[in-house]
Amino acid sequence: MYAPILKKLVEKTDTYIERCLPIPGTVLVKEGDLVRPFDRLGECTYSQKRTSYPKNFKPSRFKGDKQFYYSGSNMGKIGKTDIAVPFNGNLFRKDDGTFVFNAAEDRYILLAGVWGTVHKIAENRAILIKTQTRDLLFAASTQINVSGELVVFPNPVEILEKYYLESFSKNNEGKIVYVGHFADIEVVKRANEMGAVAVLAGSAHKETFNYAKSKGLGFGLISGFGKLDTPEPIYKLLSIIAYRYVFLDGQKNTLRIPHSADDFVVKEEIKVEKAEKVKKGGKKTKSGKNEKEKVSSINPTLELPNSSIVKEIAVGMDVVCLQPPNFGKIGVVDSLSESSIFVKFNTEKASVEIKLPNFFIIE
Amino acid sequence: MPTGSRYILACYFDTSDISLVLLSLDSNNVEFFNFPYKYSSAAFSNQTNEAGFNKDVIETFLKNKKIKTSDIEVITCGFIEVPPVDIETKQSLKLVSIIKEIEEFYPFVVNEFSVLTKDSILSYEMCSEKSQDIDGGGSNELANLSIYPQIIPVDILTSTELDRSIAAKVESLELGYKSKDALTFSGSRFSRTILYEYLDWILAFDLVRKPGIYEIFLDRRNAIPLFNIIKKYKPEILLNPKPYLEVLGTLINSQGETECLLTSDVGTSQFFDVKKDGFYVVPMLHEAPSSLSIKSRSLGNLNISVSGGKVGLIINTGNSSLFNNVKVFNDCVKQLSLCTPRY
Repeated sequence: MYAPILKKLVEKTDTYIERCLPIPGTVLVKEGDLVRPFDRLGECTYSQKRTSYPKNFKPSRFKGDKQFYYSGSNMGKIGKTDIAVPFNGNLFRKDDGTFVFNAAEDRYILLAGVWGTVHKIAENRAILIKTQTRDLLFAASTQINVSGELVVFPNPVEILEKYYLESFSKNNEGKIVYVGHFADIEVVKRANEMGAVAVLAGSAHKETFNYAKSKGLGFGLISGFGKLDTPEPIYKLLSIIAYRYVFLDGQKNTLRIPHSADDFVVKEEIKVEKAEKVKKGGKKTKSGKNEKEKVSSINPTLELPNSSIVKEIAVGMDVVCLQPPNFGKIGVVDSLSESSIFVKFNTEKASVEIKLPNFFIIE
Repeated sequence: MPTGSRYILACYFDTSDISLVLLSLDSNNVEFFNFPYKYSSAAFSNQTNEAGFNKDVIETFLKNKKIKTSDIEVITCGFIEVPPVDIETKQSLKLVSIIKEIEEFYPFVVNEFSVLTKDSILSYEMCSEKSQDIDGGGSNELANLSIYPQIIPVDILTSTELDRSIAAKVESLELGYKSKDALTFSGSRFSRTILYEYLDWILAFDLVRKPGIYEIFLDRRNAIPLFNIIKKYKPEILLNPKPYLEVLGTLINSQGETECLLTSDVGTSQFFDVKKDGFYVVPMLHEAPSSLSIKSRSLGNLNISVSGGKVGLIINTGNSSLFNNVKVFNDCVKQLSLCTPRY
């Protein structure tokens, strides 16, 4: 019996990531420089916020083409409602007679976000960095490319998700938030209102995915649609790299997790976990020999151009199940039959029959 | 033929699986292989592209058979489009172009989203993110199917819903098969692991709507597409797919009340009257042909010889889909499940 190999995590050693200033400015690095995530690549000065007002907005004290207002002061009225100035800035009249309020220009600093080498600089604005990433493949994602600091919720029960969103991480603006096994639509709506650039989860209903798509929100599902768990090894990886700057490439269904060339934290964590499980004792095989217990895990796989994507299923292999009620879970093949496999999941003692082709080998 | 080529490997890529047949040019022996998976960009794009995936499937098969790539000539065929393969192929054909030339049977090629017949392509919806677009109106299950096209539902409800949508595609369409034709059902809907075999049978019977008498065959190995692409490549090689087909039996589609008298070759007889909108199965072995007298408004009075099969003699007196009437559908399941060894 043969099945394809799914590699949720792939180690890429030649990733190119473009970091870009919103407008041309001063680039502080040169080609060939080594950079780390908090190194400054460049800076520029520009208005970073903008608010548009409807036709019935009547400004007060507006003279000429633009007018400066201080934050909190009265800017005018919409109908009978006073409008307060949201931030220091200038009000402009557009050609169609409506008004737009731009925040006062402020300094913007572009950080590297990755460990790597500056490969190319273009137009005092874009810096291409050659780096290494660990790429997590999503089952589905909206076609949005964003980057931001990763906030990881501790796989909370649904009732706590909103609580975590509002209390545990108060400032979600510009962040990529992993909300747990299942992304409820209310949580995704709230994350969008709070300015998160992307929401990640094990699973979500289709309507939630559609909502995220309609709002232009980055949205990545690790296992698929429905109420499915995030495989434990992936959740552990996300926990380890929480607060790191990550890149969601929605067009490639991928979350790019940058790491330094000598970063073995994740691999080491997995090794320790495996060793601990093995220490707990082995299991007896049919032949009576004592065998080290195989622990389900996902190791980041180094890209090997000549390795086949199809393999013969064997006892002891890790598989990801695509059959309810274990859809999305990773287990270990316990035995094989003609057209199905029997899989042991961490949470269950007995093995579960999974029909071919409702599974993938996972590496 | 190039020196050293001892085999022809024909590959048929459907929307959910890949079927292969290896033909030995020395012995004329054929060997089938079904790989019940297909390339999905959502699952494999971080490792390879479609051409690389298909190449790996073929090479794995050849490695298992201990055959060198230099010893084979690869020919490929796709359901609508021929998918790319990172191996030198001698010929690549679209199934649409070869299905028209099949004479011996009237072929239906069915997958989860479409039905292709000799004279029609019915609602081709590619199982991809583009057409399903994930944000379409469907369910979580359908969205997961667009990510992992190989998934076979393991609950009867989802299976039936998918079959109902396939059956709806042939609703009231005039297809070119005639009474007494042998109808074959190929495609990934029938070539993959069976979970509820009787659901396959119900779908096959339901896709035949015109009144008439038909011999029904399931092509679980996709022998018909595979043999026909070989025939197109080397017309001198004649392969008969019939031994590789599963014979279900004789289907009598008679819209309205039908009276039948079945007489076996040893002289025993059985009379049955099937009311309008009824479904009735008489278990009959393929090796035991019997004579049947039929009296029906749509078929008239007929005396015919019928042969059975895995199901036997099937009489359907409804004029709409079996999936549209819960009572009839349940009756089908009840009767056909008795023909399935597992149930």
